[in-house]
Amino acid sequence: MDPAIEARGLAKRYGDFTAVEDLSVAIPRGEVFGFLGPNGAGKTTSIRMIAGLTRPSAGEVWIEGSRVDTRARDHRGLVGLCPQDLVVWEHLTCKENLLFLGDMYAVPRRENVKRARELLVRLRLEEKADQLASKLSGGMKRRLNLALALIHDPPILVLDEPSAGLDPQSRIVVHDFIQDLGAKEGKTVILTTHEMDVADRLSTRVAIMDRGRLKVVDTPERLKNTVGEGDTVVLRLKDASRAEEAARAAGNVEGVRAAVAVSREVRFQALNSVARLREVYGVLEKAGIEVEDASLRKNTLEDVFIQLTGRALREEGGP
Amino acid sequence: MKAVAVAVKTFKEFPRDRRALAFLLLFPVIFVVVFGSATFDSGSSTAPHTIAVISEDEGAWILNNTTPEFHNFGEEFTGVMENATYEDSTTRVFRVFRFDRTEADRLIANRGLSAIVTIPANFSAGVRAQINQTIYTTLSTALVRAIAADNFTGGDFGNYTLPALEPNATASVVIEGDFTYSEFASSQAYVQGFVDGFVEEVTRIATDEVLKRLPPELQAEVDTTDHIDARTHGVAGTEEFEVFDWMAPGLFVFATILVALAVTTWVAREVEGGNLERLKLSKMGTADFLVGLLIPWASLGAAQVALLFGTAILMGFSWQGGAAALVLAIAIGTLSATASVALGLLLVSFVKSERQATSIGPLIIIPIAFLTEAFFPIAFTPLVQGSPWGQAVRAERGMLTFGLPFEQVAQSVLFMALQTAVLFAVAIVVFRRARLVAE
Repeated sequence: MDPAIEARGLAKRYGDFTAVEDLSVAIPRGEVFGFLGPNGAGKTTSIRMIAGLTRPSAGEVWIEGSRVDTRARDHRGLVGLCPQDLVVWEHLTCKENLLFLGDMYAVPRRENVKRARELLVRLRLEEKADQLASKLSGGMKRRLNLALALIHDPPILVLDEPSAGLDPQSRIVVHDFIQDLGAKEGKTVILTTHEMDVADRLSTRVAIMDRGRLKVVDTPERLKNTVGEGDTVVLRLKDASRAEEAARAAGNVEGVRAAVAVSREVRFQALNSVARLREVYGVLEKAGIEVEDASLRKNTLEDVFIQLTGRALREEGGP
Repeated sequence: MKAVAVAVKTFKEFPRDRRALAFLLLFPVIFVVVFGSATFDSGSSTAPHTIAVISEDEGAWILNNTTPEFHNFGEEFTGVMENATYEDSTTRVFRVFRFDRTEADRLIANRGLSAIVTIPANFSAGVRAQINQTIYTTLSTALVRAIAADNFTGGDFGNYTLPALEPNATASVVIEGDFTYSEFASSQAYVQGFVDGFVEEVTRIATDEVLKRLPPELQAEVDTTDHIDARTHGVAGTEEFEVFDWMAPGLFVFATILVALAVTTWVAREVEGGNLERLKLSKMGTADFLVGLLIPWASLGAAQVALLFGTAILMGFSWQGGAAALVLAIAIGTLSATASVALGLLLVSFVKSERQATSIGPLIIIPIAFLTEAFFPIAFTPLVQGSPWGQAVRAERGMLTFGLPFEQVAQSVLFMALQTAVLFAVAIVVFRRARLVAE
């Protein structure tokens, strides 16, 4: 069976700048696929090419077994896009927004009205149906933004940073909704995020991107296992300039793996981490390196990213 | 269907976006009120008067002693006006243009000229009659004196043949213009003065020629009847109108030009907000979007013209042509708004934000508005005729101010429709490439 979406050698260049280089992924139907990476990693450019909004400099996109030609219109309607920015018609009500976009997708009137009502209910906007979009709160607008991507019931949904700027209540609503789209409705969902917990929680598989390149694609669990068994220990140093030295010292302790310096922190993996922590403390003390704080947690996708790139997700500039 | 949905959406948004609506409807109304309340001055009294001279003079044969000579006094009179300067000044009294009748009529209607001076076909014949009458009267007066003094010998008088009188040969120079235009009043007075001066000069030369051949006791200056005069006519349709009557139709079209700025801003907002990109993914085609945009904006243009027309009437606009002219004026306003939608789409192909639209849009749109003759006449007519809005101003003014029947403005409307169609075709291609295909 053909994958729902397949990218083959996708690239996008703007003059000398390469936004995305040689991106190849195949996403089966019903999968929630996450693009994880820091800002500027090329996630948005990738999904814009997949959605047909940006013409690739090289490579091809295949949707449901047919090649997408950005100049043709035959793939229109197969993809629903929820942009990162709030794209709603401010002077229309929530219901008018949905009905208008449904008309643009040539959704039959009766079905359009039914879907608009359903989406408003599912995204907890039914009480705001007749309220102008300009009067909605940020979280409500973001939910309307998501509903607009689904009015024509597309088999593929592309969500660009769907959690950005959401209040806790809206966050729960949106996350549950996205999970249901994949699990219960069998829709193929592609999402981008720079939040590791969002990617971890929502995605069937995660693609980690950095500087326009795809680093790795796998399930969150398998990715986290590549960092190693055991826990992650994070030591926060008083003097950031000694982080590299501290990481080397910690890495020499038996049983300590993948010790890296990330700005003021030293991170490493270890089995029996409490005992290893005591030994590392001793080594650092001997070297005159003061530890300000220490924490211990399970591996996360950020650890995977650090292992792959040597930087934390939030470090946009990075080495 | 999708075009209708875009149109319905825009119609819903109009009253909800009060700022944009106020700009579109109230701003032109303020213009009409301001211009309707203003008084206008023609400016400096020593500036050249811009006039058109249409010389129909056929010339005339005149005997110089016994030698016949052909003269075209109409050309000579025109030359006198062309070269005349104000006293103690190098500034010319007139800027003389030699237009044909059609062009002169058009410019006088638009106040591109202060007067049209028509020199009649029998002007030279009139001058000849004036000369002959002067010679005849001077000689006959001298003859009577000689007989009365009893010294008539017949000697010197034998060299003269009394010329034939032409009592019915009277030529009238016609000065036409707008009586309500103060510039016409002063131009008319100057032209009248030059006609009188020309007749006096001709008479003086003829008198001198005769007198210098007579003995002093027989020399006497005589009064003659003028065979040349000047008559003043008002241009049809302008006899009663005021400056505001001339300006009001231009203001109607000016309002519809503002639609271009509003469309640029409106669509730039959709571009900047990502709404257009969202529509790009849908099944909406370029034609759906453009037609959907055109319906509400052209309707708004029609509403603008109707609203401004009502305001103008309240401000004292005396219009011609009745209800049919009003309906046609609204239709022309709608077509003008259509051209403005096309211009707006063209502009928004080059701007990406509402801020860019509001800063760059006026740089293009305001000069276009000034070049339509909406506010003042433009001497270089291709600039006016080259834009659909210039044609709209001409057609609206022709019907509403000068009371011309539609047939006489139909050519302007036809040109306008063609120019709008071309502009729209260009806008569709450019806008589609810039805004509705993948980047």
